[in-house]
Parts: sequence; C-alpha cells; structure tokens
Amino acid sequence: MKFINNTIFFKISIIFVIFILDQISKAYVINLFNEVQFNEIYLLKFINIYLIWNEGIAFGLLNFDNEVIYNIITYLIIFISLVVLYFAFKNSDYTGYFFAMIFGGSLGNLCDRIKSSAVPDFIDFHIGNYHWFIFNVADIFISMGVICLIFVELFFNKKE
Amino acid sequence: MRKINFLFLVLFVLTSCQSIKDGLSGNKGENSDEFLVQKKNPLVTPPKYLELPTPKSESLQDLETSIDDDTDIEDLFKAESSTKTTTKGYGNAEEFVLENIK
Repeated sequence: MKFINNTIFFKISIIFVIFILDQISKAYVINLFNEVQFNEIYLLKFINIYLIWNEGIAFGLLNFDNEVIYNIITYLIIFISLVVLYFAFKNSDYTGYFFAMIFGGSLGNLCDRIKSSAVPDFIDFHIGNYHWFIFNVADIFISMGVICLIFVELFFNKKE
Repeated sequence: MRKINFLFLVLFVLTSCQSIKDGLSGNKGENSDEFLVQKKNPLVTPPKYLELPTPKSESLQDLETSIDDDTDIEDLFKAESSTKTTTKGYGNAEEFVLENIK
C-alpha cells in the first residue's frame, strides 16, 4: 500500500526543487557580492545582477522600519502561504501544481524573511533605461504560478 | 472573480520585488563605507568679490575713440607744418646737394 501517491510526491518535489533553486541562487549571489565588493554586475544586454534587500512585500510596498509592522506582515505571509499549501493539496487537478509552485517560491522568500529579516532581490531586467522591478528566483515561480492560475480561471473554468 | 482577487493578493504579498530606485537610493543596499568618502568643501564666494571692478566697456571705448580723434587731427597739423619747413629750407634736391658741397 502506498502512503503517498504520485501526485502528492510530485507536488512535494516541485516545492522542494523551487525552494532549493531559490536558496542556492540567493546564497551564490550574496557570496559573489561579498567577494567582488561591487553592487552591480552586468550579465547580459537586458539583465543585470544588482543586490538589494527588501523588507516589505511586492514592489517595495509596506517597507517600514517598525518591527511590529514587519512581524504583522510576516504573519500575514505565513497565513497566505498556508492557504496556498492547502489549495495545492486539495486541488487534485493540474491547478494543484501551480499552487505548489507558488508555495515553493513563497517558502523561499519566507525563509529569508525569518532568517535575514529581509529578502534579497538581485535580477534587474531592463530594456534600455526602462528597468522592471528587481526580483529573485522565487518571485519568478510565484508570478508564473499566479499567471497560469488566472489564465485557467479566465479561459477554462466554466462554472461561473 | 473572488478567486482572481485572491490570486492577486497572493501575487502582491508573497513576491518581494523592489524598485531599482529604492536600491539606488542606498537605503537598503550594501553601501560603501561612509568614512572613506572625502568631504567636499562648501562653496564660498572669493575674498573681495564685491570690490572687483565691473567692466565699463561702452564708456571706455567712447573715451578712447574721442582721444584718438583729437590726436589724429593734432598730428596731422604738426606733420603738415614740419613738411612745410623742410621744403622751405632746401627747395629741391639740386639746391640741397650744391649747398652741402660748398
């Protein structure tokens, strides 16, 4: 008898792989900047590596020095992450994998938030002088998961 | 629709992207040592700045031209009178040579 079926195992693998990828990339970039002593590395024509620490949420919002507000935001993130985890294992169809992707990314960011009191962002995508917000590997997976779920909700969900 | 709203909330709360402007402002970034930065001297006006002469180009030019005009006329008169005296003394070149031979 199998205690864990293939679907659950695959979802746990997704969460684990995204979390490990995110943590390795962050550790590598932080070590790199400690050695190089620069703040910016030109990688490609449209991608720079620029390390900054975000204490707030998306787009640098809710970035306060107050510790109480920081803790409240952290608890809110934990709560939403648990809701996402619940949906990841509740939904047996392919949307469960997208929720697992989101949870893997959020776990990476949450880990840094608790460990370092800030989340390192380092991917600076730009076209010419127009810079997008600096993000990290976890943000990529969270955004991909959310976009896929919105796409599914808009075009494939015929209940509403 | 409620599900999409929830997904947007997830996107906003769980991601941690930040504007490059915040990074460049140096509030949260790893700054260089502030004690290594040499402090610049404040901008000050040079000493006796107010006592420096102001250029009076127009009035000076007028004065110079007026002086030039006066001297020119005087010089012309003087030159004319001197040439007259010289011509009176010797007449022509033949008389001058004969006078010197004698």
